[in-house]
Amino acid sequence: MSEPVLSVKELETHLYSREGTIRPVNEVSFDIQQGETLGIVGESGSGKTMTALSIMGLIPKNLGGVVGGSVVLDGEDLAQMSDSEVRRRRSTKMGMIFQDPATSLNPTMKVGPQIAETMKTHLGINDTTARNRTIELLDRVGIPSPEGRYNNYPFQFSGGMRQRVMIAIALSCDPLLLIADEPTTALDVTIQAQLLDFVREIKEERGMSVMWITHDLGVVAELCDQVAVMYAGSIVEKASVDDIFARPKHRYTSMLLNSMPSIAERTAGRLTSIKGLPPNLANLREGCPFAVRCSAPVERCTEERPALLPVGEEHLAACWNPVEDPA
Amino acid sequence: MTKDMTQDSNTNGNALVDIKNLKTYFEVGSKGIIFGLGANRNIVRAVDGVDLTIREGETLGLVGESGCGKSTLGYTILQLEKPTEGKVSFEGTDLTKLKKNEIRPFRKKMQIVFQDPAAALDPRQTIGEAIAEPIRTHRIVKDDEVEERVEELLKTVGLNPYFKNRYPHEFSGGQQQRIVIARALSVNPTFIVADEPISALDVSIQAQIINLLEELQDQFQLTYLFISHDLRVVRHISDRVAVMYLGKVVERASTVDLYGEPLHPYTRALLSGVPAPDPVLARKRDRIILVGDVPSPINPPSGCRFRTRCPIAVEMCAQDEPALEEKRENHWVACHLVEAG
Repeated sequence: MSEPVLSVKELETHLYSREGTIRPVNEVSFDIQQGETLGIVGESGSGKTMTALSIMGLIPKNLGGVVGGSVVLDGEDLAQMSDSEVRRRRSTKMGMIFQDPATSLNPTMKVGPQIAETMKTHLGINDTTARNRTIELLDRVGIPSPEGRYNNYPFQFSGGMRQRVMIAIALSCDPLLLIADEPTTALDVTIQAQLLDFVREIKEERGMSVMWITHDLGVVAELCDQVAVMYAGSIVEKASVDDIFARPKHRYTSMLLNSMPSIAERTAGRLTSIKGLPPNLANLREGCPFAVRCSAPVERCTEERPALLPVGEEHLAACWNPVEDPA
Repeated sequence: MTKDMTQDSNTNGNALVDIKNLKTYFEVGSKGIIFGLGANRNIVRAVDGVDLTIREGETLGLVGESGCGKSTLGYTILQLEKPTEGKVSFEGTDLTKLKKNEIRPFRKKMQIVFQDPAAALDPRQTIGEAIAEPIRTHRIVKDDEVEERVEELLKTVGLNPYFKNRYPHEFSGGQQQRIVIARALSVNPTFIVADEPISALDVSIQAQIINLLEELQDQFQLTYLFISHDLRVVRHISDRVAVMYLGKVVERASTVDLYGEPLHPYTRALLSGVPAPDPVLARKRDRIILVGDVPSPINPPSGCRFRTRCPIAVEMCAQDEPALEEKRENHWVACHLVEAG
């Protein structure tokens, strides 16, 4: 296998709060190969967004920062770079899209120039070239009559269209990696379907790698090749998308899958729910953070935190009592 | 009572809520400077001629994209919005004709659970007070029994009664939604509109709230209008489903029929857009990807409102508006191209 586009090793991020130091990213490691899509699944507070922000070097300095590990993007370790060097890598090597396109765009600036600005800054091209390329991009991401739309403001676009504009900005400098943080959560199903379809297409076309953060296991099944499940700041399971859905090993993954009603058939009786709440990161107990909500805890779970270890071929899980394979 | 036994609920059960040709319009735009001069008024037809019956003890799922009018329909049923036209009968009484004081006895029979529990609770009121307020207003129990009733309600929704003196911010989203549900139950309602009750919650918490709603329905013989854009959850919880598009119901059937054989092209697209949590299935299935966004309800397309995004629209669709017709037994569809059979 060739070098991965992104290789994250033992990434550790701390945030400082009144309740003490929080570890939202705890020894997180994963690789993304060229053209591969990695899905990062988890609930709010599980650390998936903080992982993305840590990779991009976007954790506000006054709140905390990356304290350990490496983030190797295209052969360079971002964790060792200065802010301005990381900044140059953003856009040219990694593009980002966020959950709420309305707050990611500048409301007082026309959409076209917002996209062109990125290209002028990073690629050093002149106004006319940037404008032409922007119109091409708007067309490519599926904005109707892109030339007329160039001079519209963000509020004149619908939610789905704004997200397309965000994708245009992310793609403007032809990045190796697209980091998408819940980009379809705020959208309707029909618009989400449009966007997923488009991302699949553009990924194919450019051979781009994607890191897709979501809480929706359905989206993961539709889009991703590899999946990492996060809980309380750590990756608790990692495998190919087929393995995760057919042979989940970690109890959390399996309970999460079971708690979803199916669209293909009616789920009879009550849903399998996960009792309790996600843990408070400032106040984690000893042992496995999922132990108190787990359906099959063993004694060891409350004493020692399980490490992420192989449980099958290319399949890792951090669980003392993993789910048996279906016979 | 299991859901599967009630799959034929179309044919039995009394109507609790009966909606006839209901329209709710909103006026938007500038009002003009003097005497309406230069006024630029537009009418948003949020609900535009809906006929719907909700039967005693059932859960009717109401689905559609944002802006299709599903929440407005819920609010209009509860008379939280004034209808422009049409009628809403509740237990045989037309609510739209009632005066403010006449409607009061009905208020305690109909309750609502909103999407965002944090916004639905007063941050400066203890949760015990929040639940006690409607009990006092409607004099459900004697004054000295209110506390006891509040504690009982907290237990019913799975919270420790000891929490009653705490404030909403001390609870998680799922717990807050339980408090909102307890408040809705406090006046012994028969009908609850649940407007996206789980959309704001974490995945692992959603199933808890769905189960709670189902348990309460069995325990108190509640009737639900369950408004949601989550088609998976709607399939699980509903006996019947109505699909809305731009203010109109375009398809209505039992859950079994609607998911088993969706007939309206919009319903088909909606269902095909739901990501299936099954990568093997996801790879081989055909998706119907709709083009563009929902058109503005200020100026909906002529004829069939869905025709601008419909993959099978023909010329006729631009001229005549299709009526909601019974194309299969108890399966109503508003589409020219669906043959009766």
